[in-house]
Amino acid sequence: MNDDTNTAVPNARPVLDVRDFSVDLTAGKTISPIVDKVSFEVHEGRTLGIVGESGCGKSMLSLGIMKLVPSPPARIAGGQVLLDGTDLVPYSNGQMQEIRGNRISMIFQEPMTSLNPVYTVGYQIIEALRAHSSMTSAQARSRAIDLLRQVGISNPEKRVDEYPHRLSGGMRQRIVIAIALACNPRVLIADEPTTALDVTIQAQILDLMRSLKSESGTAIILISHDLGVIAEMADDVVVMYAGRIIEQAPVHSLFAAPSHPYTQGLLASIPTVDGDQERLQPIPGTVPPPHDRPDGCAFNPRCRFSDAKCRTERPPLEEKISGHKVACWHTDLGAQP
Amino acid sequence: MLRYAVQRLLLAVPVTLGVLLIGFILLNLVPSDPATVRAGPSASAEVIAQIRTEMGLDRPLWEQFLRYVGNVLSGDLGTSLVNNMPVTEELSRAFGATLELVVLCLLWALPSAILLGMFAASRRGTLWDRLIMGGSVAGVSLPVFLIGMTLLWVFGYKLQVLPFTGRGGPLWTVDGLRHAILPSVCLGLIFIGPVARMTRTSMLETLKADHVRTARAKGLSERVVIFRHGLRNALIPVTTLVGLQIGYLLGGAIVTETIFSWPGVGRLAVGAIVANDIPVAQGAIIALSLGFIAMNLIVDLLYAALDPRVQAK
Ligand SMILES: Nc1ncnc2c1ncn2[C@@H]1O[C@H](COP(=O)(O)OP(=O)(O)O)[C@@H](O)[C@H]1O
Ligand SMILES: [Mg+2]
Repeated sequence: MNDDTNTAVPNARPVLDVRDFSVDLTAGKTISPIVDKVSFEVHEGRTLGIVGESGCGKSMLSLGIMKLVPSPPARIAGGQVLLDGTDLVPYSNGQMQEIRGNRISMIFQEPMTSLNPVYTVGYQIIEALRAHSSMTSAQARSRAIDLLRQVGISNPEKRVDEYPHRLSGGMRQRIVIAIALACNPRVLIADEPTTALDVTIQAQILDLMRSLKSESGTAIILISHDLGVIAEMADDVVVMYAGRIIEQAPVHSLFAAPSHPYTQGLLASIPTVDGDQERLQPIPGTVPPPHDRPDGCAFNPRCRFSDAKCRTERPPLEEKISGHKVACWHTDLGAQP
Repeated sequence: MLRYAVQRLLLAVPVTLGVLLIGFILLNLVPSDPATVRAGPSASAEVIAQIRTEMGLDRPLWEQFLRYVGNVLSGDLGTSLVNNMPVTEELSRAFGATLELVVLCLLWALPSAILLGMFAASRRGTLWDRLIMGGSVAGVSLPVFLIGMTLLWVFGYKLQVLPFTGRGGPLWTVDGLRHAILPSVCLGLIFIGPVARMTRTSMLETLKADHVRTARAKGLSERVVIFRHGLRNALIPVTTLVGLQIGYLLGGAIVTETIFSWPGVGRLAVGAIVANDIPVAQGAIIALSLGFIAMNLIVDLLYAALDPRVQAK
């Protein structure tokens, strides 16, 4: 945990300020929210972790910030995405093209398929560079080689002309990171960047991201279903469930006092360092699909504290301790795991 | 790339030998005696027997075949039984005409098919999409001769806007081009349906790919995303399909040439078979097969140029 870096940022304007952001999904005649009034801030040089099980809407949220949700079926339904104070939601696709890859970049989960197989990695980096600057191709090429070196690729002068199929998954993810960093973005969104990689490579990629953050001051949104990764990387954490934020706190506070039963469940399912497998308790049940979300608290069918109120009234996201918000009717119970 | 090309070229050698053998056997199965054809209807039995010996037709089949292959390799395809012209001379004229027809057909049909497919993909589910896809099914299921006869009747006979028999001058003259329009449209129509269909499917598939999302996330314009990261990749399966369609294309060329009296290899082959002119028929079959092999080679190379993963294998 990065307690040392968690000196509260004094009223500085966040780089990215997401307010009541919603994404709807249309399936047949039903329209259901898959991201529901989500709000958070990300500050310069800090990492916001977004955690939640698969299907919680994390990818839709990140694509929504880029205005790249697959449409149809999905659609941005409301809210604001303020980048350095300017709302991107009303932006046209043409205006967004100047933001994407330039001021907000993204890294995806699937390194094996995220690169175009028919172009060299150098070409794909140069393409990003030249989309947002007036570099000559020679300048862009030498910058691409620098970027490859920066993301830890050995022999970059040679690798720059390689096709993606000749590289391993870890290498390809480094290339994707190089593309994302090409234009020194203000915000880097990493959607499960290490999920598809094995443990050793995962640690290397996380190390790389950490050093890049400290060098560049880029604000990072790190999405993961793995609280272990979040604990290691994030300064602040958002816990999502069924499209909503159910707990939001600085990382030390979240791990010291996890307050939502869902967060507690996620914590209980992290393998401990001493390998005590007995304590692994996955949360029973699964995330309900968007068109079939229960009334009240969306987590209630899976929650051991659930009562009549949980089944009918949705708990608001409220600040319980300073900086620590929870959406639960039973935080008093939940706070004592 | 060069190594790949040489590999492919070497592979074409046994295929060519196979073609020679099959052509030879097929034409020996035809119940007709070349010596009788050459001698003419009024020749006596002795004359025919003498011609048969001269032509080596009394030798065993395998010997005839070896001699034939030897001749072909030295560029001698014999002379026509009907007009005594060297077969190579007739073929070179006809080959030019067929090449002209096929190239002209590909020049308009391939881009049109790809554009139609892309258009249908971009208007997926609309009336346009259904019209184009419906039309392409019709194009695939209608026989070539029906398409050809319809074109001939409507544009040549009823409207009288285009000539419909034979070849005009060279393609770059107005007359030459006008003569080539109906046959190349006819040939193109059989080709355009499957290619448009494949382009549409492949384009829709590609645009869903992760790397297209990466391209968008880089801030590339929609035009660049669609052409550079969509179409370019979508053309890989389209190229495979075009390779598979070459046989149909050449078969279609034979029918088209016959309908529009286009003096190409296909028409030459049909005429020679009808007249029992075996050396010409054999030569035409060899020419068509070599054309087939050459076009496949071109498609293979194109495929390798489009997809860097191919050469790696
Ligand atoms: N292209 C799509 N079409 C229909 N539903 C989708 C699509 N993508 C995601 N969903 C649905 O939206 C919800 C949120 O998905 P996602 O954002 O991918 O979750 P996460 O990234 O947290 O695993 C899920 O219920 C998923 O089934
Ligand atoms: Mg996801």
